[in-house]
Amino acid sequence: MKEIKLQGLNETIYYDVADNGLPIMMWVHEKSKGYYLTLSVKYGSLDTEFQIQNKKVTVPNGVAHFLEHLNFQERDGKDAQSFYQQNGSDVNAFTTFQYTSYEVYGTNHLRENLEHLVEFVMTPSFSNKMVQNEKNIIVEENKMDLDNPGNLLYYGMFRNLFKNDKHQHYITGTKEDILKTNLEDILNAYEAFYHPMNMFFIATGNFNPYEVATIIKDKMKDMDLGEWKNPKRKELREPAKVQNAYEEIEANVEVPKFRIGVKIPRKNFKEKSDYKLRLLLTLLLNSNFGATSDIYEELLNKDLIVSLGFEKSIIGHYVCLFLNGESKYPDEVIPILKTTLTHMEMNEKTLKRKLHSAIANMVLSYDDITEVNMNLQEQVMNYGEIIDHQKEIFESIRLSDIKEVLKELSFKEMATVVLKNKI
Amino acid sequence: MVYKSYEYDSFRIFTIQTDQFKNAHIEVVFQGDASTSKLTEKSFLSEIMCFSSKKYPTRKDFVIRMEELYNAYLYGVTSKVGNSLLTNFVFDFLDPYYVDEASYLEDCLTFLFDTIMHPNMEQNGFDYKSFQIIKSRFRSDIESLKENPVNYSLRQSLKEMYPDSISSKSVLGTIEELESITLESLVASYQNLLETSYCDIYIIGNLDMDQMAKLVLKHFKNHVIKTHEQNTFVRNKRVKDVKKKVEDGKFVQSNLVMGYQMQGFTEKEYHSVLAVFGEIFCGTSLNSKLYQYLRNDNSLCYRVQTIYQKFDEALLISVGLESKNKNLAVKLIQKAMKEMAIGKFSDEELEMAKEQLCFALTMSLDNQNSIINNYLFHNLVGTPLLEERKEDLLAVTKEDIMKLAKKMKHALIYELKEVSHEGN
Repeated sequence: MKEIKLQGLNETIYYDVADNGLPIMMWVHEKSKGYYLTLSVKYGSLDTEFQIQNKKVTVPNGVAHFLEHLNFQERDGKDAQSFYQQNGSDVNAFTTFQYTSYEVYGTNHLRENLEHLVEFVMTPSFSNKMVQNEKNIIVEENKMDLDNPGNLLYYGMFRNLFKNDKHQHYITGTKEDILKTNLEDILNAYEAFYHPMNMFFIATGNFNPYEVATIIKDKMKDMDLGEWKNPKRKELREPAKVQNAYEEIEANVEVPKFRIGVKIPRKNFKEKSDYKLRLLLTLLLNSNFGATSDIYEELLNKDLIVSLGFEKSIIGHYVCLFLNGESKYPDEVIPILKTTLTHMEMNEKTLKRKLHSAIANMVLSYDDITEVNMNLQEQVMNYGEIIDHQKEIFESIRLSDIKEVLKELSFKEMATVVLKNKI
Repeated sequence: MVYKSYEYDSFRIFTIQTDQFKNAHIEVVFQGDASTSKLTEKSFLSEIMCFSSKKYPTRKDFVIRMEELYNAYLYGVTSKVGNSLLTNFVFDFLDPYYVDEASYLEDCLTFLFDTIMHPNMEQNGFDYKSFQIIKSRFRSDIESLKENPVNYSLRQSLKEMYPDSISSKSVLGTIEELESITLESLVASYQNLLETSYCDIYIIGNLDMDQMAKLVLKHFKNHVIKTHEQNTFVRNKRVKDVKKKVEDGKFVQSNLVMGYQMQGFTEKEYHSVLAVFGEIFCGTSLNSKLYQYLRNDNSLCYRVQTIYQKFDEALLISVGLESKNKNLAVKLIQKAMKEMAIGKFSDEELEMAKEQLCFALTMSLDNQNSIINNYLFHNLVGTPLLEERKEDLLAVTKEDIMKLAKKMKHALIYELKEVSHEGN
């Protein structure tokens, strides 16, 4: 077991690897009353086309999420919740674009709860009947997504930004995807991806890390989990050009909502670390569009916006910046925001203040066992490692780094999506 | 955790000293009477007071100051709990232990109480720019309610169940109520807040609480003593028949709400029996009765949830489904309720429900907001503190639950009906 000291934060991540290749990461918070365990599979909604040896497999959109639903059913006809409920604990799961995670919260029965987490995730029992029964439930879940204007905007932006990339598809899939999903799709996906070599385990909270590592390793030792088939995900070539520069969508909204997206090749940026690049972009967007920015104040004072937010993401070979907001006058606001985007700036004083508060946030995140667990999941998925010198990276940032990124930004490829009640 | 309280003439301080968190958390809570208050105006007031202040007159200045205080954050929340109107000023800041500046703690308290005691007002009223921005935001929030089928249908259901009662009023209010707010009326509302509302201050963190009490006394100059009585529980008219209402929605999914009136509950039923009943009937587990009947056995829905407005004597059951399945869902919910009343649930279910609730209570001790919330409701309506609450839950019997279920009177079947077309 390795102890990874998080520099400047007085925190330790315990790191181990099981014989079957499963990475085990743990953060201990002795003052916490409970624990939070997540067993995650690097298999998400994006992975619908893959190859195992010579066999090409295509499954409908939404299969990762469908599989997550079914995996709760256990061999004895009960579902995983029955077990955890009896132990006074809680179990849940979620699927993202990139991965699926099974999570357990508890305050006691750590050994049983952990062993059972491994048991129900790694020994599935799927049947045609289960697949059929679950379809309408997931269709209703998808309808909830469709009734949420935020989702229309979110997926609509990806549809306009990308030609091939699969972020444009709902994680649940469409109704048609869900209805055509069959047992074979589920089995294909499970057998390809649900292997310890393609999974990771994270525990946060109050427990003995040596004991937890031993429990999970012992539990897996006797399980026949087969060979890791190392499926190759089909790599989709995504053109640099946005698919569509502008779309208005008729939706059930009282106040129009908009989202602006910028697509920039990752290779434009000299900064090699994705972590640091994300941080630099966040600082820039925060300073130019956050609550302390001139444009935010101006648009609020002129009653041109109700809200304004920003995000950044690295998707495949592209860095994407997003602005989103609500405005009764989107036609007036969008050009102003685009102009501001192309003229972003930052000064020394603001940088210092923003860094200052970002470091405080980082320290405070270690109050919450869920937040730490999620942060570790994000690090595994985005960077493939635990970043042990985050504070040092924050403190190393200079205005010259920001200026370098500003020079590298390109705004040639932008897409805009507007939701309006009646077009 | 060390609980302590300090009582002064015009306010009380409740503290919880713990080294569990790196965050320190203060809530200044004003408790007024909802039935005699202009709810929208009070909501507006807490928003505008936390938007800017006399010393930091623009939003930008205000947020910059919070960033300088190591990303401290102050926000206002107005909520209606039965007949009580709560206006909370919630302030989070870093444990001073992690900060080099010796004046940090005092700087934080100065910021908090300056904001409350010296809002951004001119002679004639609140700052015009801030007023306009908050008004726009409220207008948008009120209008956007129609964008959310779950919230909209719940709000409509309460209006149908209790049309003339304070129980059906929301703190967000209506456009008409918003339009009636002026710069001057807000000043009166502010004075009313300080002069007629009871004030309690809750503090949790790794702080010297005696010192905190002294600092609060130094910075919080609220000297008005209140002696009037307040009652949180609303007694609504007894319902006799089941009201049915269908409203056309603009959504791809229908939302069904079943309303029940809680008639004549005892204190014990409110504080402990209701929670155990709720866990068996429609709790967090997919094995609860409603999940079992609606989702697992009949694949009617993904989501079914219950909302307990216990201070308004209302239980609302909300389901997202296809309209054609509504009648079956109604029958299944009625069947489940009947089974609760005749005790058709096992001892195992009862014990599991208690286990779940005790687990949730223990986990809530990892969250500052939950700890404060429990303390607040303890003071407001006598909810037992967490440890005592566990004992009460464990003592609940099958007979207690059956008795409580018999007091649930079916009052409403409301549907926000889907549009016929759909698509992705």
